[in-house]
Amino acid sequence: MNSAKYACKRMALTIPTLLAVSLIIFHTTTFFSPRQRLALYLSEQRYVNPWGPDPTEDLIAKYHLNDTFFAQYIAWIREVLRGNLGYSFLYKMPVSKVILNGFAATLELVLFAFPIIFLGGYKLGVLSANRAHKRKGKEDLVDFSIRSLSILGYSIPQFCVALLVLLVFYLCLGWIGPGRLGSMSQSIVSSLEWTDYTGLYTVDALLNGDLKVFFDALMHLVLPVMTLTVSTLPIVTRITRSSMLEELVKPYVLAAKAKGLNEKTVAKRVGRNALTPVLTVSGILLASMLTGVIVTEHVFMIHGMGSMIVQAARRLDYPLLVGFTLVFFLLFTIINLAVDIIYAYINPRIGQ
Amino acid sequence: MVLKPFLRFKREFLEYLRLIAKQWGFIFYSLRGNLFSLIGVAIIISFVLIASLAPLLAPTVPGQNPYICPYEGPLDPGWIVPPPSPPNAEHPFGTLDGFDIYYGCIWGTRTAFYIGLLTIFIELIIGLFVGCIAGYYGGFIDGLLMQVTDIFFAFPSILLAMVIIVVLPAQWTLNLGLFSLSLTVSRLEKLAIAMAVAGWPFYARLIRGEIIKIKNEDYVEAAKAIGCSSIRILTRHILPNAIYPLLIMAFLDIGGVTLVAATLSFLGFGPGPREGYVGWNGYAEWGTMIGASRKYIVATAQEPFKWMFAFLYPSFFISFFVLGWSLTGDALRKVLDPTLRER
Repeated sequence: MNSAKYACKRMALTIPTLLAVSLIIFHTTTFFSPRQRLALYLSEQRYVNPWGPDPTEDLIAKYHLNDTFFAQYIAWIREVLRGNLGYSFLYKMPVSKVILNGFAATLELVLFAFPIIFLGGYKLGVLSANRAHKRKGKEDLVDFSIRSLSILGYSIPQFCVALLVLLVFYLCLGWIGPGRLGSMSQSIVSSLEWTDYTGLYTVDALLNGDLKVFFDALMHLVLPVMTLTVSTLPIVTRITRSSMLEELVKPYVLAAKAKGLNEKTVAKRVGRNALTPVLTVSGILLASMLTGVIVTEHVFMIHGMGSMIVQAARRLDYPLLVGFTLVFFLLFTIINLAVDIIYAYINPRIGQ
Repeated sequence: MVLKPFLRFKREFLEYLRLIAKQWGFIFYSLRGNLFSLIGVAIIISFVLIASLAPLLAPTVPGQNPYICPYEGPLDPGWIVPPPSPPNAEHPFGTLDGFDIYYGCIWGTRTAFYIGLLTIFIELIIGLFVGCIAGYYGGFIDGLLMQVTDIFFAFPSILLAMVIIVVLPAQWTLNLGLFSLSLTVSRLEKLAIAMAVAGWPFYARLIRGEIIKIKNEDYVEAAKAIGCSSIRILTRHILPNAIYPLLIMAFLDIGGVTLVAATLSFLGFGPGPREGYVGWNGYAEWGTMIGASRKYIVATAQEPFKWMFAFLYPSFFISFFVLGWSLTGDALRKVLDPTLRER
């Protein structure tokens, strides 16, 4: 009951936060003058007729670009709540559609990478901590190598890892290229027989019953997932290791051992207790991975949210940039909310 | 007589310096025997040497901005980019888009330190301001400020920095009626400002926590009792006791900040004189160089290793730079925070 109350309170608190964020995001548009904002859309010939009367003033008045900030904001947020985020001139379609298209690619990548990162990082951290604890101060070879590899992993920039992976596996070994699909599968996907269910190629391929496309999509996911793993897994490993080491010296471990429990059972109990901080971090990690894939997508030419947002910022497609920022924040908030609520159910002390 | 407060300030300052030196001595003493941290410190020291000896290691061209690498190629590097040339006697690391890679790597060290220090400086200023007010006054102000901090904290930092770089104007003018102040920001400083705006919440939280811890100490009560103003209590009694661990944390963050900066410039938001230029614009910054070398990695399917040097040298520099900071940082944090110490 208490947890439910906490969940309600937490959910109610997100609404003002979201409003404040939308205000901040919209406020960034005031860095541009009305003329500049109008100029984003004035690419057509009829608007730049040098002999005719200057149409910009009329257009500024027509689209209310000179109104007060709050009037503009209210008009904007009303449209946003209706699901209209504006029109992207870079992709020539509504922003919400662009975001939906990109979201599928990003989600596919994250869905494959996250379990590997979370489980792998957790297992490695537990192994490392157990080894370190057993040796009591002396260096253990396994622990040492895990630690040094993880420091190396998060020190090498993600773009270097991505390029290195591309260099080795694409250029040297010639296994898989960048992109989401090979040219063969791409033509199958864009043909008329193909039905789009989710936008995730691996899932769609299974639903369409095309194993060739499925394996192709899967193969194309290997390199990006590898890159993400190399640069994100060490974070999980590190946190698991330190929280394990903290748990291992607690009195209940000694009590359990004194009671005569075997090593395996003790390790299981300690592992479960050490999991709580890891879970919190993983929630944040999952949320930040949705943005952290920016570099990976950019290098591997996957047209997901990450690479689209870079394009939007570089080409100054402002509606798209604002839309992406808003959606990213929404995702972030939802995941954080979910983590907090799950956490409150697991650990009832938090709700109090 | 006029000098008296300054003299006292000097004395206090010297005393403070002595204290810091003593603490650093302790820190280095406790780091001995830790292989990782020794390697880290060695890497950092060598980078400091590279940065300070840059004019000797890579002589500048007189009359030119030292951060722009020497250019060799067609006179007008408009939209035609010369292909990379492999390492030779004149260019030890080869050239990329006509610019010398060796020069870029060496002077990129200075850029990395500059952007790291500048970003952390701005972050600390914002963080100190917000954290002090929130921690000291508490109550409603604290709640409000922390809510704002949380909002900024929840934002993915690379995304926020990207948006800010896009919207920040290059010139800020503050019109005060009689006269106007104008401030021109280079693209490098823009990058630093954007990262600082995205990264200050961490410090604000840290400072707030420290101040709340110290706020109820006896000496603060005593200062209140004799009628010190709250600004005086904050700046003279609380901050000197709170800021020290923070400064070290901030100092160690240079590696992380450089990583984010390099990522942003890899994505094309980096410093440089020419915006929207196809190739490397010649600015000595590792991320920009790697970003420019990227197109040569994908293009050479027949001879995969032909142009690899263009990507490998700058990657080497940035990886080692960040590695040095994270190795040192791990060990130092363990020393500073006894709760993290392994048993």
